[in-house]
Amino acid sequence: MKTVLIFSILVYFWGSTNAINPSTDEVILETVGKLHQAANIEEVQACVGKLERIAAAEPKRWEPQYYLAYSRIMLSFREQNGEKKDAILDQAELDIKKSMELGGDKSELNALQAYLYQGRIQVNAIRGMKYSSMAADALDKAIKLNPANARAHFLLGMNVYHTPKMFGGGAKKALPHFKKALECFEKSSGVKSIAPHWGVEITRQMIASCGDEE
Amino acid sequence: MKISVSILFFALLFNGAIHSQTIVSGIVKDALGEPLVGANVFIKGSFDGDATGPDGSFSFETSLLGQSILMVSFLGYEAHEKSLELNNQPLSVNIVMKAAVGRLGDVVITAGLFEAGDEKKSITLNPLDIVTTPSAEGDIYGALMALPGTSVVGEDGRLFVRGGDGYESKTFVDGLLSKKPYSSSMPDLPSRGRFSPFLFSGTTFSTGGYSAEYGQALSSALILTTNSFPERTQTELSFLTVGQGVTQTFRDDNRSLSAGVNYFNLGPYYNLVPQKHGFNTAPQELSFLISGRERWNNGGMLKVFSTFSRSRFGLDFPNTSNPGALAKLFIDNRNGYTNVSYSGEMKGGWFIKSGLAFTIDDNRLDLQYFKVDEANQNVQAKITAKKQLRSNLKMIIGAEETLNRFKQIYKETESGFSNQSKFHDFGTALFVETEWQPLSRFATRIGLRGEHSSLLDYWKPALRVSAAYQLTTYGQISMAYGNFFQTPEEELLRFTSNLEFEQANHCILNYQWERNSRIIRVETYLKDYKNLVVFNADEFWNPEYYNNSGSGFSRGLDIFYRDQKTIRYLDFWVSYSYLASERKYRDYPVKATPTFAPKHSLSMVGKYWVNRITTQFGLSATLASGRPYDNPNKPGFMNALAPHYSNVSINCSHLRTIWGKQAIIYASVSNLLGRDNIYGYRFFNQPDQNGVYQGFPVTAESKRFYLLALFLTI
Repeated sequence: MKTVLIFSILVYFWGSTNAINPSTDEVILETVGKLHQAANIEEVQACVGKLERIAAAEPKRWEPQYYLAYSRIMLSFREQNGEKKDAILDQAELDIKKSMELGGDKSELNALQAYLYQGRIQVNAIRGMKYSSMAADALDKAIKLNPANARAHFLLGMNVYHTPKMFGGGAKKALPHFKKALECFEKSSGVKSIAPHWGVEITRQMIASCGDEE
Repeated sequence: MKISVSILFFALLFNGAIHSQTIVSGIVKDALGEPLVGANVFIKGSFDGDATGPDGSFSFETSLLGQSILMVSFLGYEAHEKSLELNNQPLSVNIVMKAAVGRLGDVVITAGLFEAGDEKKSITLNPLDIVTTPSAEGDIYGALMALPGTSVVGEDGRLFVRGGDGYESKTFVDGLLSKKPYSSSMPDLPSRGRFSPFLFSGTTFSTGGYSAEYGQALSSALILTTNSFPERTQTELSFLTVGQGVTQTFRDDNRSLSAGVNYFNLGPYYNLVPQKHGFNTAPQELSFLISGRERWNNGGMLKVFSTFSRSRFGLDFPNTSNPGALAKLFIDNRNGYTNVSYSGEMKGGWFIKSGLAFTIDDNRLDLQYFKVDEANQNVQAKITAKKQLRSNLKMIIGAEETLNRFKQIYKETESGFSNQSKFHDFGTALFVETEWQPLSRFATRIGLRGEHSSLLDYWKPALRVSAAYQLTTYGQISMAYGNFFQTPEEELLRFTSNLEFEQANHCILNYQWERNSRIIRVETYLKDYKNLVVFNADEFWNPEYYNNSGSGFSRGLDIFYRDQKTIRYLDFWVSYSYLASERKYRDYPVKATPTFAPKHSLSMVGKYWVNRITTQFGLSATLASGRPYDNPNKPGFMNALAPHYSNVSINCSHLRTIWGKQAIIYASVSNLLGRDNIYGYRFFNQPDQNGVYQGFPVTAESKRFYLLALFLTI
C-alpha cells in the first residue's frame, strides 16, 4: 500500500513536472504550429517573441535560430510598412548567419535565405530582378547540397511562379518544381521532428492554383 | 500510514509550489510615453514571456521562483533588464525603453542633407531613382536638379546650389575628392557627370552645413559611396542609340573584379536629329573602367576603382569678336581617376577609413584663334578614425593632404603670342568631430576643421555645428551652422597666388516630417559670402587687380514632398525653391544677382510601375523663373531677365527576358513639348554701325533629346 502510494505520488509528480516543462523541441514545434495558424500580425508577433526567448535561452543550438528567422520572414509578409519590412528581414538575415555559424543545415539555411530574398521583393516590385536572381542562386546551392530538400524545390517554384511570363516565369513553368517538392515531402513524411519540415500544405495549394490557371 | 499521509501532504505541497504561478504584467512605453507594440518581455533564461499588445501591455505567468531578471527587447531600442523577486504574488511592472542610437525614425540631423542609403532603405532618393528620373538622362547631377536648393543652368550642366557658382560644389567618392567629376566641355554646351549612377550604392547630397570631414567647397558636397560587392559573376551589355558598352564581373566569396569598356558617338544621332550648330566632329568618348573589391580576414574591406577616358568633339560656333563669322572650336580631353580605399576595424574599437585618390586631366581646347592646353593633376590622401566612446557619444578624427598641380599654355594662333602659367599647391586639413546624443530626442554634432594652403601660405579654422530635436514621433527640427573655405579656382590662381580662401557661412533651419513612406521637408537658410575673389575685366591678366574684396549672400526657402504611399505603385516628389541671392565677385562691377540664381524653381518627378507589363513610366516637369543676364545695350549690370524655363520629360523602362536573359528596354524623350528655352543671351564684343551690341540667344543644341537603350545581363 505504502509502495503503491509512493509510486503513485512519484508518477503524479513526474507527470506534472513533465507537463509544465515540455522539451524545447516541443515548444518550438507548438510555436511554429501557432505561427502557421496566426490570424493577425499580433499573433505572429507573439510567436516571434516566443522564438526569440527560446533562441536566447538555447544559444548553442541552430534550430531555434532557424525558426526565429523563419518566423520573422512570416512577420515581414504581414507588415505593411516597407521600411519596417526591411528592418525585420535585416534581423532575420542575422539569425540565419548565426544559425549557420552554429553548424546548422546548410541546405535548409540557403533555402531560408532564398525565402528572405523573396520577402525583400515585396517592399518594391522593381527589386524583383535583383532579388529573384539572388534567391535562385541560393536555391541552386540548397539543392546542390541536398537534392531532396523539399522546401528548396517549393521556393524555386515560387520564384518561377511570381516571375512574369515575359521573364520566363508563370504558373506553367512553376508546376514541375512544386510537383518535385511534393514528391520530396512525401518521401520524407512521417518524421515530425525538430528538423525543418514546413511547406507541404502550401505546396499542395500552389499545385492546385497552378492547375486552375492552365 | 501516518508517514504516507505526511509524505503525500508534503509532496502535494511541494508539487503545489511547482505548480504555483507568478503573474507578471505591465506596460512598455518609449521615452515619449508612446506604447511600444510587439516588444518582447520575458524572464531571462526561460521561455516564459509575452509580446506587448496594441496598448503596450503584457501579461504572462511564470513558474519560476526567487530572484530573476526581466528582459525587454524591441527592435531599435536598447535591451532593458530589471530584477524581479518572483514569489507567487502578482507583479506589475512598467517599463520605459531607451531608443538605441540611430534607430528607425530616430532623431537624425537632416539640415541641408539629402541622404540615400542603399536601396534597402526608402529614404529620400536612391540610385535607381537617379537612373529613372526622366529629366536626368541618366546623369547623377541631372537627377539632383530635381531636388530643392538646386538651380537648372541648362547651358552648363554642373550643380548650382543655393545661389552658389558651379565651382562651389564638390564631389567625393568613398570620402575622397573627385577633382574632375564633370565631362569636359566648352562654354554654352552642358557637361555631364563622368560617373555612371550604377557604380554607387549610396548618395548623400548636402546643400549646406555639412560635416567637418569635408572641406574646400563653399556650397555643397555630393558624397558618393561605391557599391560594396557585385551580386554575382555576370556580363552586362548595353546598346544605346548613342553608343555601346560591355562590363564583365567576376566574384567569389571575398573578392570581386569588374572590367568594362564603353564607347559613345553622337554622330549617327546628329545625322538623324539636326543640331543648332554644325558639329565638325560629333561628341565621342572611349572609356575604361576597372573595379576590384577584397574582404580581408579581419573583416576590413579594400576597394579599388579606376576609370580612364578620352573624349573629343568640335563645332562651328558664332565668333563673339566678329559678328556673322563662325569659329571652329575643338576639344580633346584625356582623363583618369583612381580611388583606393580601405575601411575596417582596428584594435581598441577604432574604425578606420583611409584612402588615396588620383585625378589626371589633360584638356586641349582649340578655339581657332587661340589654343588653351590645360594639365591638372590632383592627389588626395585621407585617413579618418571613428570610435563609439559611449552608447550616445561618437568621435571622429581625421587628416587629409592634397596636392594640386596645374599647368596651362595659352597660345594665340596668328600673333604667336603664348603664355604659360603653372603652380602647385599642398592643401592640408585636420578635423575632429563629435556626435553626441544626450537625450533620445536630441542629437548634436560639433566639428572643427583647420585648413592650410601652401600656395597661398594661409590657414583658417572652421567651425561646424548642427543639432536635431525630435518634436513628435514623426516630426523633428534641425539646425546647422558652419564656416566653409575654398582655395580660389585655378583660372584665378594662374595670375596670382597673393590671395586668401574664399568663405561662406551657412545658417540652416529645417523641419522634417516622415511617416509611412511620406516625407515633408521645409528648410530655410541664410548664406553669407566673404572674401570672394575680384579682378578687373579689362585687365584680367593683371595680378594687381586681384584681391579678396568680394562678398555676397543667399537667402531662401526649400520645400520637398515625397509620397510613395497614397497610390499603389506611384512614387512622386515635388520640390520648390525660393532663392534671393546677390554677390560681387570676379569681374562684376557692382553687386548683382548672378546668372545662376533663378528666383523660383518648381519641379516634379513621378514614376508609376505597371506590374502586369513589368514597365515603369516616368514623368518629370520643371518650371523656373527666368535667370538674369547682362545686356550691354541697357544701363546697369545684370539688367535683363531671360524668359522662364520649362521642361517636361518622359521615359519608360520595360523589364523582360530576351533569349532567356534579363533585359531592360529604356526609352526617353526630354523636353517633350519642345519649348525653346532661352538660358540667356551672348553679345558680340563690339557694337555694330548703329552702336548696338548684337546678341544671340543661348539655347540647347536641339529642342528634344531622344534616347533608346537596351541593357542585357548574362
